[in-house]
Amino acid sequence: MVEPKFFEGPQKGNLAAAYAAMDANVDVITAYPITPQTTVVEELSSLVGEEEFIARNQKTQFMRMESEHSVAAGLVGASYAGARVYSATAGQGLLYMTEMIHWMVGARLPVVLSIATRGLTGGGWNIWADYGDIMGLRDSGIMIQLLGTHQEIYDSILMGFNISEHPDVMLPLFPAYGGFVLSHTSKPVKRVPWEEAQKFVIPKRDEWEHVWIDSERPMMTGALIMPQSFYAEFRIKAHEAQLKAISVIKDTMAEFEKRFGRSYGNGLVEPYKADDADVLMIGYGTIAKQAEDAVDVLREQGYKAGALRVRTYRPFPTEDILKYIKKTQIVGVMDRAIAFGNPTAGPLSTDIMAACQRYDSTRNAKILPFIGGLGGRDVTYDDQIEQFKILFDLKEKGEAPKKPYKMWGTYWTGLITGSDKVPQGEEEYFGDI
Amino acid sequence: MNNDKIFEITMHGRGGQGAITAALLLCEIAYADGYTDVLSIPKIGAERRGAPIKAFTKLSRNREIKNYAAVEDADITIIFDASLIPLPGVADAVKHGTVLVNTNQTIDVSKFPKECKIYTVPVTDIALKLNLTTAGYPIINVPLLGALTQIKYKDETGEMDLGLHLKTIEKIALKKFGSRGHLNYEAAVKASEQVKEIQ
Amino acid sequence: MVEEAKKWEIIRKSREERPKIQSWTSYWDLPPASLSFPIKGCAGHTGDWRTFKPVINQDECIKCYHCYMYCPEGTVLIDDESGIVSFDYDYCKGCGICAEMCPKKCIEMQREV
Ligand code: SF4
Ligand code: SF4
Repeated sequence: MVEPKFFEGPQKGNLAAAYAAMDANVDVITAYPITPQTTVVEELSSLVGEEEFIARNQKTQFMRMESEHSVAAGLVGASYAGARVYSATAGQGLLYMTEMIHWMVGARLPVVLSIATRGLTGGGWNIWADYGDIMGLRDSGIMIQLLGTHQEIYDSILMGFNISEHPDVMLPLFPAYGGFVLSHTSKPVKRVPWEEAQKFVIPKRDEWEHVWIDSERPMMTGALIMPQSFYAEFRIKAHEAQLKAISVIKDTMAEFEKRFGRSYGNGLVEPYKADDADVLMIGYGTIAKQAEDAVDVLREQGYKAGALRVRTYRPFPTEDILKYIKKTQIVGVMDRAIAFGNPTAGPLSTDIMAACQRYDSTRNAKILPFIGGLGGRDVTYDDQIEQFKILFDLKEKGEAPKKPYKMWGTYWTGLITGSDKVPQGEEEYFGDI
Repeated sequence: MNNDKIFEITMHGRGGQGAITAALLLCEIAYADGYTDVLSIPKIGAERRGAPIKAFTKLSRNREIKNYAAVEDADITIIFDASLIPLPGVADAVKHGTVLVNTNQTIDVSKFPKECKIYTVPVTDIALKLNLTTAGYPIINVPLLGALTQIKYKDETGEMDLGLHLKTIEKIALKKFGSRGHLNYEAAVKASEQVKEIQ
Repeated sequence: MVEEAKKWEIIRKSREERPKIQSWTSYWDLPPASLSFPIKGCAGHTGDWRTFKPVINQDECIKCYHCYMYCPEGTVLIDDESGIVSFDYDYCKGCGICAEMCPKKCIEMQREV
């Protein structure tokens, strides 16, 4: 066997993604570059010709397309034919793909497409970490995983095919990680040996169960569906598949851990000292990983802080999150994305508040929304200590403290306020309404 | 030596001097020399050749590195050429630890805090003498890492070096740069011999 | 085998074993996405829709098969051996596209009712 060019060592997040796709033995890669994803497809274009894979007779097709829309359309076409497909994009590229992404969901095609998330552009360019791009598609039916480490990028893409191509699921999966903060930084990554990866990844099928291309058995999909016909039912089917994916994700994580000894919580959420915590900080991505450091520091000072990282955002792990909220009742939710005009301005915090309404035991939990790190601004761990202090304040005094960066009930961590003046018209979040 | 310490290193360079590559190479060298977790952070912006840039490296022997934010108070500051010192955010950002400067002259140490250890090394000279250049520019990042193997860091727990080895630099340089690796290694060795402690 | 896969085994197998008419009845037996299978007469006895029927003048026909290509219903038939064109009047819906497209204008739409 040919010695691999890279097997273990410090590696960029983007390259970890590229290697994972190759180790999953994908059939078709369609590609169009966009910062900060570019090095994923750049690396793939050379990996498909890398001796290591040629020696193994791996026949991955790499196709350069003329736009992201075509990239997604290419994935749809190849997937219809039963191919295992992969691509990567970011920010505006993801937006341009959107039409075809809805097609993937509606046609139930198992695409794995990784996203190096970045700030969206309008009236000013931004290419740095911000989950606004992927959050914009949170209700499109795709599965979304928000990753926190370089190793996790590799592992999640490898696991991704087992989830996405599972016959009970058959939905596209988008593993997303912060642009630059993970894509361009390097940290130790270990590949799974190729042969073992082949044993782990779900066996390829000649064709999917519900769609195929065979002139002997012609079939048609994508036709007009009248209102009185089954359009509504097909939409609900996709929702059902999302819910079924919850157990598939857990099983895949357990199987991965059994084989390779690495795990990320149960695949849905990753708790950190959350079981006995007095206050809990929920977040995603690297910021949530960093919150674990803040928890350690606070625990040393005698504060019982805990953290919970939401790893799978769609399907939404309602039960797994509520389990911890039930225990702590005082919860902060940190978003690195802004959902303009929604009740808390944070996508995750709104989801969590809504989920809390499901049970009596969580209905009265106090949830404080935080937003920070937009457009790649560093969230330092001093910032995070302060977030926890706010939660402890709420616990001790019964009310959320005023801060110059608290507006409309949301704490805008890292906001440049210029002075310590409390903004005018600040309304208390926990009113008597 | 304090094994739980996470070393935070800031590199100040100019676009084209290889600071970002140096941060990545340092990670690979440290990982091969027994650090269990390493992180390199290039601060990507609208860089052009010559513009001042920063890259960061964090090295840890025992703990997982979870902090992805830029380094603010570096333990070790590497300055790729002395003309960067007066720029905002370079010398004035040094609050403690060790400083390594590429220069063949003496530098004004009063710009740095008193308790800092300061080293200089003339890596541009070394690179030019060995004809280690790319497109006419001297390659100074690997030689600077060679110098880094010799410097000491001091804190409350005592004095320590980073535990990096020239042999590892050779191994990584050969893997990364092929035949050019030898020349890089040779420069690194020369730099490690010529590094001077001036404060 | 997993639930979903089992359900669609039969229709996947072969042309012959497919249900003759698409027979999804409720949410519970639907496939994951909208599909249909080309089955003769799946929209019913479309010959009943006709008020004019295509009639071919075989003497002028040059067997270019434009009619065959353009017929939306696949009801222009070509004899395997002789190559002669005829129509399947059970399903020809009388739209007249074949007559319109014929370069020799040798298909005439004759009034039926
Ligand atoms: S009339 Fe219309 S349906 Fe009938 S054969 Fe001609 S084209 Fe086909
Ligand atoms: S289009 Fe006219 S000429 Fe051509 S095959 Fe049909 S009937 Fe004959």
